[in-house]
Amino acid sequence: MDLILPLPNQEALDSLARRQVMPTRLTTAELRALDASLRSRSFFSAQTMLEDLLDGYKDKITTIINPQQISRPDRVTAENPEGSVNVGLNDAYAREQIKDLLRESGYQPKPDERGTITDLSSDARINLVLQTNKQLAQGEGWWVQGQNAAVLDQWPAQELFRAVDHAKKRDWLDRWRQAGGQTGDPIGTGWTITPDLRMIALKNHDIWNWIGSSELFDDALDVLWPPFAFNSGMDVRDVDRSQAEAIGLMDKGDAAPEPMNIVDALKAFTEKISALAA
Amino acid sequence: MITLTINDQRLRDLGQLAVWVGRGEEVTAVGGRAVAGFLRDYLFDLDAERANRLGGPRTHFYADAARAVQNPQADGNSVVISINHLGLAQRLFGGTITAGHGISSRTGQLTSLLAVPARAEAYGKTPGEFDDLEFVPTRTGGMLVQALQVQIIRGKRKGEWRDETVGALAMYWLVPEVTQAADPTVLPSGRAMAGCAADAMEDYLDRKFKGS
Repeated sequence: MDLILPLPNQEALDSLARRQVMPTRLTTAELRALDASLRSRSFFSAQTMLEDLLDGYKDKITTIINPQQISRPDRVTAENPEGSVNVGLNDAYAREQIKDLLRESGYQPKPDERGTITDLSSDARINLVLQTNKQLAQGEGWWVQGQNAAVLDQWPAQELFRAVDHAKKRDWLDRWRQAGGQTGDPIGTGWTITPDLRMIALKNHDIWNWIGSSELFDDALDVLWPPFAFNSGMDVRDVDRSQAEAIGLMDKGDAAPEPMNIVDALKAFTEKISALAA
Repeated sequence: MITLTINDQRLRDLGQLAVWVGRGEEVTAVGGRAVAGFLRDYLFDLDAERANRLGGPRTHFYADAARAVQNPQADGNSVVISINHLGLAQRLFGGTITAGHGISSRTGQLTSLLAVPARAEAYGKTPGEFDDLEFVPTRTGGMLVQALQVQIIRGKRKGEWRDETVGALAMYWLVPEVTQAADPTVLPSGRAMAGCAADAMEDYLDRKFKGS
């Protein structure tokens, strides 16, 4: 194992760059009524009209997901002969800088909202915006990176799993059943629940269009990748061909899912959601 | 940020075989994805096992690191993987961090002391996020304490409140430097990662040879 020059997480950075800052007075519920493709192209936070604040968030998240590496003589050790040091922001310093930005802009929360999720300067609100947007960029990056014919051939399926434990857990197994029901495919055809309750589906199957769809779930983020919903704690992991065959999602020799590009995937997603909403 | 190059004899042999049968790029992509998936699972598991040392709300440091594992890149016969996460390299390699490289949120000057959380409430937060901390000098540096509000009981200011730092709760220790021991367990061993990549590459090649 060697340390060499770092590589930027280009797909995650592209995801952030693609999203244009959109100041809005709309609430979360009102935002859901907007076209899914507009939301997927926008960087926003409910009832946030401060463009500088949204720009600030975007900058901080870019720095968090793409820390830089520098060399410093005072950090040279036997294990680190180049004295490599990572510099950038972590969530705590990003949160502090967002609070500074809000102070400078003269922002004051309404007295009865202080400290709540609607207070733009509260830890809860800032953590939610930072975490959600960071994970969305990383989730999209992982999705794009997985759209490779050989990777899809070796791991044609993926599992939705709880990556981070939360005190209040939503019933993702029920969501999985509802999302599967929307696809028109019966359980065991493209998507399944194993006897030990693992939620697995072929990659690029229609179920991934529904599990993060706000047409089905109020807290969904309208994406095909984790975190799928606000504060979900959910993620995906690859499932290889032999497992996919063992649980009946594929037969031996079946073709792997076709690779998709991000534009086609989002277009297909929007068409599905629009058709349901119409 | 950590960039790992995974490379051993079995990987090199498989890489050469893959190139020989015209599947070099595919097999390297499979090897890389195998390690990336293995690393993500390893870090998510660590997140479940290792809570904050001082208790308090979880920052999910290792889950954050897991999500930062990114696309494997082909580099000849090796697999190159990056983890774009601040802090993981420090835990992996350890070393001494000294003040004087960052900007203090209090003074706007270069830091002269580092703030180390002393209580669970301080974990995952910066001193600048508290508005009630007072500096108390000590022999080795200092501490930031949450001052107590004490009512004045005599004199002209009787009845007013003042900040009292004696007996107050220390939120951060302030020290000129911190030395952390290396913790190689924050990542799986190079051998385990190479084995995982090689298994997937071999399986892929095997299937392609058999035409399944």
